[in-house]
Amino acid sequence: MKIRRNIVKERLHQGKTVSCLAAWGYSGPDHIERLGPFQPHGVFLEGEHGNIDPPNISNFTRSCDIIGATPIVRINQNDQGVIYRTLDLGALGIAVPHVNNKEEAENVVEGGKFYPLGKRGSFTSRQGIGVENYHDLANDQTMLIVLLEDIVAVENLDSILEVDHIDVFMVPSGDLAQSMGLPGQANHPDVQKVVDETMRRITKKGRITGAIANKDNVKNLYDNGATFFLCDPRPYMSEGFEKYQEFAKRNIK
Amino acid sequence: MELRKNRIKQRLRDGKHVIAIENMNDADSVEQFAPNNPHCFWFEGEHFIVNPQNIGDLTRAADLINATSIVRVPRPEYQLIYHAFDLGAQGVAVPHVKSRADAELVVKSSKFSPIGQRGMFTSRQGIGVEDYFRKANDETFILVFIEDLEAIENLDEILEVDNIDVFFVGPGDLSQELGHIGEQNHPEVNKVVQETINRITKKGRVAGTVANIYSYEWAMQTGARFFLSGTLDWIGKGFNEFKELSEKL
Repeated sequence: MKIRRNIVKERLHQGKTVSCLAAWGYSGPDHIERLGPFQPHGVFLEGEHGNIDPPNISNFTRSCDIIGATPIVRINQNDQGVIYRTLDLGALGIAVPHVNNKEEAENVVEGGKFYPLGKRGSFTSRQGIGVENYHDLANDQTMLIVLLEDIVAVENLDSILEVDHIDVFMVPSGDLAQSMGLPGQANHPDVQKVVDETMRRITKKGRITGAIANKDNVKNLYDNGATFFLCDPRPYMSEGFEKYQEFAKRNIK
Repeated sequence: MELRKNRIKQRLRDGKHVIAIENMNDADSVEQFAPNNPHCFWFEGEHFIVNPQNIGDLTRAADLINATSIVRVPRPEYQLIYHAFDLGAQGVAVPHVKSRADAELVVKSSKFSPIGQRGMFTSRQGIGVEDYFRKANDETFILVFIEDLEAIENLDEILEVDNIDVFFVGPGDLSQELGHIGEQNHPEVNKVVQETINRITKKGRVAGTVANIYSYEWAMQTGARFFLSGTLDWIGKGFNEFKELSEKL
């Protein structure tokens, strides 16, 4: 059997854009399978703040696999055991929050890659069932995303960017704003300035960056170097519901 | 403690419309929808994963955001119907009701005496409510599906059955029998749906039907006031537009 390809990783390294649907406010393995017709490149499963954890990762990632979308799990601690267990259960991508310096970035790679790149615990993942030479092939298909979301990470950016085998460096503004003394003000100009500058520094070093994106901001994000896009379905649902509501209010007396 | 009000029963009494939201058979997803102040969630147990193991969790999430919960049960069956109510549903939707006897069975299963013979048990909705058994009937919502040609033939007698809040004309199954399988909005299917809705509303009863992304403008002008709509349509539209735009960059 052939190893399942990581579509998101492949596209990113070909310089293409990636649209991942985040399972925020629309979740469950049977629900994710029904996203199939929209052909998301990847699905972002929320384990830092949401209910994704070992008892359900395999069912969630299986539903991604069956629709050909790369399953990416955001975990909630930069711990090697957590990283490779999440990969063992079927994730093809790991997003690690609050990576603040070079050592922490190296920890992600050590946990996420088998020897010789790292020391991921030796085990055949769900993604490796029946795959010949899985341990030799797995590193190519696993994707690592680090979240640079504290101002200290921005200060340490140059040394963090020296770490190989990290596919995407994201600069989420919510936590960054807190760390800049501006809690709840992710859109504050000072915060946005740091985000834009940091994304440009990342791409200038030949690395990949990304962000939460919508139709209104995607052009600007792309101009600042982002190619990995996370789509939040909640505004789509909200917009659809409001449209029906308005039509009903106008037409039903 | 006060018995929780059934928001959509009140809306329908007030002559307003109701949009029941489907594709959200996940408690956390339901709760996240709160800012939109939805009227109602539809939990799918005829065709999807809803069953006694998750009805409590799903309906609790709907209660917390003040949305009415409806569970579609798999078939018109006495114990199945009241079990959904016992676990916390504020409404049931019952598929393939084809005759007056079927409709009467749904009412008998959903309402305590003197209206029916719902199995005696204090629902999650009745915890701590004084005199629950005398009040419950006022806050339970009943929807029956008219989705077979046989049901349309028997419609007049079905419409004589009291205590049914919505008669829902299901275009999907009708499209099969009309020879247009999967074409929910084929002109011939629309024609039958419209005629059936007319017969329902003419008798002073409330009609419902599907309002999807292709049909909602049509459906909302049929005279129906209850609509079943899915979030998946909305996600698809938003995501497809985004993806198209991002791939052009």
